[in-house]
Amino acid sequence: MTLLRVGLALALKNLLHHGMSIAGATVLFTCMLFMGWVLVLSEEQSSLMAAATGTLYYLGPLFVLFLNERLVARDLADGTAEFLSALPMSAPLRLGVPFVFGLFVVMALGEAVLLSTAVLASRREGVPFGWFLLLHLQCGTYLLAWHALAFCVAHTGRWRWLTWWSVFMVTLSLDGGWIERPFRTFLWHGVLADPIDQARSVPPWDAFPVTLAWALLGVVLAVFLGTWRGGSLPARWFAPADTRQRATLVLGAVIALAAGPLIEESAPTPDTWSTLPALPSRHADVRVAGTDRLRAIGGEVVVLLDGLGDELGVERWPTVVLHPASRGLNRHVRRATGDDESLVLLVDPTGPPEALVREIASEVLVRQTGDLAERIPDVDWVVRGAAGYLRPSAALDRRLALVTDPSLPYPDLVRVYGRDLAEAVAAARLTRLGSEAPCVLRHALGTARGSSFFSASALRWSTRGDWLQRVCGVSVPDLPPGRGLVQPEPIPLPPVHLAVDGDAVVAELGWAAPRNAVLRRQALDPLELAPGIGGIWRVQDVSSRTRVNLGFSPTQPVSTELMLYWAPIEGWLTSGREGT
Amino acid sequence: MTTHALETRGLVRRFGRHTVIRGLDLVVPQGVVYGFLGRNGAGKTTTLRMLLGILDPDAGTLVFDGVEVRRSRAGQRRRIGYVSQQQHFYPWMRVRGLGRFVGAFYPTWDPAFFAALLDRLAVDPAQRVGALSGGTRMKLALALALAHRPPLLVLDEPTAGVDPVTRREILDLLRSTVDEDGRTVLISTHNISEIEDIGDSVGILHDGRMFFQGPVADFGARVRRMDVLPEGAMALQAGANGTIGWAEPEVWEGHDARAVSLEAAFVAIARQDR
Repeated sequence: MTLLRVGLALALKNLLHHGMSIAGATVLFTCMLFMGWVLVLSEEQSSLMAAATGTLYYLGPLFVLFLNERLVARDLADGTAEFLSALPMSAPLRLGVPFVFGLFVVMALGEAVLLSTAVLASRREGVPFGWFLLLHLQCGTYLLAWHALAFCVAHTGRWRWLTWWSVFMVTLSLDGGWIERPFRTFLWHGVLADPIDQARSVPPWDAFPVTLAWALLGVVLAVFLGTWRGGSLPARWFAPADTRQRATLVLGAVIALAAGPLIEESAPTPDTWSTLPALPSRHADVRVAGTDRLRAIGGEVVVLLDGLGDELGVERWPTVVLHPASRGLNRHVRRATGDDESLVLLVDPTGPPEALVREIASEVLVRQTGDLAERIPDVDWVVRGAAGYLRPSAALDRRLALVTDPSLPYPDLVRVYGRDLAEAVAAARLTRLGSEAPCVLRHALGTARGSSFFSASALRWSTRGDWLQRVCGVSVPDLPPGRGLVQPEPIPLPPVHLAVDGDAVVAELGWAAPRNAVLRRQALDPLELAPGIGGIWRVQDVSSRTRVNLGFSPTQPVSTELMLYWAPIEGWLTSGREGT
Repeated sequence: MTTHALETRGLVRRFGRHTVIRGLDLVVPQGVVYGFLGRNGAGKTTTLRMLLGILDPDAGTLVFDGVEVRRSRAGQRRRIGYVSQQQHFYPWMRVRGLGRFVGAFYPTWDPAFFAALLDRLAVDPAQRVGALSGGTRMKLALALALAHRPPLLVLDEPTAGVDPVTRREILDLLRSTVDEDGRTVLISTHNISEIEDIGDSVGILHDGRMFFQGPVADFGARVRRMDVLPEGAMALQAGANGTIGWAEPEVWEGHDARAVSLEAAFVAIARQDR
């Protein structure tokens, strides 16, 4: 009973003493959260929950710093801690009440942030309850660790700002440095270091023990500092400093100032790529700034590039530098920098290895095309698809199953599965070709028209519908049938006739269009006979029909491109360009 | 066996390499005003802070009501009223609010008695603590220390820096709390006259150890001034008017030894190493 009364009295004292300050900090925090919401809602770039957890991730530490400065350091600096220590209560209670009070405030803030954001996000992006609980666990553990460490640091008197600065600088410097995934491996950031959408699929369970260990360490150190010899250390550190102590503090600050850049500089930079050891290879020059996991992925990339180099006659691929990165990647692999000779990729090593190798290979192949892929989207399209072919994955196979489902019309596929379907379609084509006629495609690609694989890829742009045959020198119908790749039966390509039927222009196909076939048309510039800027495709279901009303008036001049194609894999027929 | 209000046995406390308290044996009898004397920096405050659990002793034990402990516990501290040398109260609190806050720590807290004490000491309960003068703050500390009716009152230089009127009020209150309520008061000071005024017993801390402790009258009987000290007497300080010496009372019998004031005796003890 006495314990409860004393605890409540201390908590009430803290509330009265620091309530206004905490409220002010909370308002500031809320403003930052609102800004995050507004950015998300206006730019449509991220999710609201990601903004909320990001706010907690970056501003939570500052909030707990402020909180413990008020709850702990203020008492010690003002001498009121001595007044408290003379009151009849045990040291654990004296230390425990501000810690629990602060933890309650921090957790309440975290809960308010998550809950309010979830209410908003549930109308927009959906917040499953299980994920919401996981976010609570992640944020709660993360804030607990910061609070415990801040509580400990608040006892270090004149050293506390230096300690805080060192903690911030060292942790920031380590991020993305030499150590692979430092946050998860060593520090307490691991539970929230990954993008939450990634953590949603793969919860960072291995980071929880590390984070909790830091929290425990913070509490143990704080108890030690607060109780050892009656708390004489904080009393000494909060006493006015003499000349020697001030000099020590300045020296410590200088060392800390120098340590941050030193650690930061020890991380690889573009100028120091050449100092990284290259993985053994015949044609590739792959260098890895990281530890075993990323090195293993680099090894697979080497094998892939070596094999491809042998087959395509590429003697030397550009230098590829793989650098670990843990946060802020929308994709597992992101191009950081590079020149004509090298390609620096930021890689999130937690991604599925198959996907990582495929994405890295994509970047290398795209780079090998020079600026062709950047100028011509279809080249990028094909090359990335080729990377998928070279390194198929289970996830890709699942998408292929959808793509090759003949019961699903192509427009529905695009609508349901989005634009990235194109990549899967390219991969599907190449995968099928590869599986049906091993090496034929690659050799054909590599030798067609005496060009390199990459310039041959670009032919797809200029050759349109029959690019495969022209590039590969392989007749598609000659290949064994593969569902989704080619139609089981060769389809004659009769001409399409345009006719006027009353006040409408109709296309007479002369044969029944395949099931799921669609007619796609796009208005063309009458002079260039090319799509105008902002041209819109119009798609019309013509399944099993022989006659299609195009919706044009026979009295109006129209330049249009009509394409008939049928699901699931692009096998379009250019019907010709007609003008009336 | 007599139970003392408070004892320390072989108490030691170091600050870095400097040993401040070197095996202190302090015995405070029940129901007395015990004057704890020593020069500035002698270790009086350190001793009191160890009694209150603010500091932990490096060695030795504390005995509260016959119970020997390594460091004072919350339960034992509830039976002590403490007035520190400097009052680090929360300045934003009002006097009444501070009383409520401190009262939560003591099951025996008597709000009415606290109000009466404030009234007696002329402290405005509605005043903010930060606005109080040094003397009023000391009176508030005294009221806080007494309001839970502790058997033992520990005061660290309670009259330092207060005006004579306030000083008199405080001393009268302390005397009355012993005489009327049977409490024990341990008062640390270097103001000898206060101990002569209200003290029953005295302990003199010198060089980290207890040089003497016992009734005030016994202390006076041990210090005398003579031109030539008799055998068995220890010279404390030589001067033009003779030498001040320290000896058992019977040593001085039959000699023409002159009495000295407590203050002169204390100064002589304090200076004996110089």
